[in-house]
Amino acid sequence: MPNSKLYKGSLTTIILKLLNEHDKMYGYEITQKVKELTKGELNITEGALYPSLHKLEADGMLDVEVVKVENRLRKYYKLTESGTKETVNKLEELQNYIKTMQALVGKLA
Amino acid sequence: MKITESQIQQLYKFTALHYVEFYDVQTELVDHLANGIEQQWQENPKLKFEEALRLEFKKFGIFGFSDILEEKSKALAKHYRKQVYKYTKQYFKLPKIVLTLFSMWALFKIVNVVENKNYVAVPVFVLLFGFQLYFLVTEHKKRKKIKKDTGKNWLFQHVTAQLGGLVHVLNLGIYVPNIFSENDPWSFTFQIIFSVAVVLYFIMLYVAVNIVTPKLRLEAQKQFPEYKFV
Repeated sequence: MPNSKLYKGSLTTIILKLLNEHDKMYGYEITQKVKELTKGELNITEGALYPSLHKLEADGMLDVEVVKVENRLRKYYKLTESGTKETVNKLEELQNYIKTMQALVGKLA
Repeated sequence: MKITESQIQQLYKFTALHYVEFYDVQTELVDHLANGIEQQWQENPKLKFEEALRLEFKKFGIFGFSDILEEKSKALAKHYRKQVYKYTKQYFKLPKIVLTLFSMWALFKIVNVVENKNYVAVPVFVLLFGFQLYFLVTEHKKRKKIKKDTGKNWLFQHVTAQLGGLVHVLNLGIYVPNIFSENDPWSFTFQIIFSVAVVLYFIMLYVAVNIVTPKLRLEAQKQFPEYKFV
């Protein structure tokens, strides 16, 4: 498991990006998708994921739909219009950050 | 292997035992735990339900569900306050601003004309607290009815009962009469502040109880259509 502190600031962006690529997702699915995409390198903890999802929901970035699946209720999240706009901003921010870090680390190395 | 209906009920009880009493929060946690347990069963079908649950709950860390519940309550309360702010702002835009400014001006005029300011201040506060009390009692009755009808506790109701935390700000009004004294003359600036603050207080209270609370209830209704909130 890598240093999770380095990923912490990017959690919101990761969630938004995933939801941008999928119509709707639920919490557990997000954790599994991240694990799959990063080949187990990044493991989003439940204690970090849900507060981020709830904050995004409260900020109007996500819409919620509760659906009965088999014998239980499942809460799906999907991007709102402002959530889609925010995804673009957040991704741009993250890409700029990566570029800056690469330039900095490249010079230090 | 799939989770059974009775195991789902066990998971609800488990979340309640771990201090999550609100059904709207429990539901998401129950689904998460159930998915995790089913995933474990795929890898190890012989694993007992209780053991799989223990392993799954461990992933939530030493604080268990408490961080999630706390953050969710905070997020919902913030959402409530933001909505109050959003709708209160409309009272400062045309056409409503006309009535807002007129109310402030009218109150200011009365305060300005009446010599003993307590003749204005006391009835205004009695009226405001009467309104607040009326709104809160009505709201409390609605909440009790929802609890009775659904048989469950709901986080959105807990947040609306506190007016998203605004109830503490509004209660500051109790101390306002303490700063008045019959002998102290009210300055011109103070008369303006008083008139603006009273009207603003009333608008916020009205918006919170009559617009934002029903809106939040409607949002919850959309999420849980099988229950009756509205």
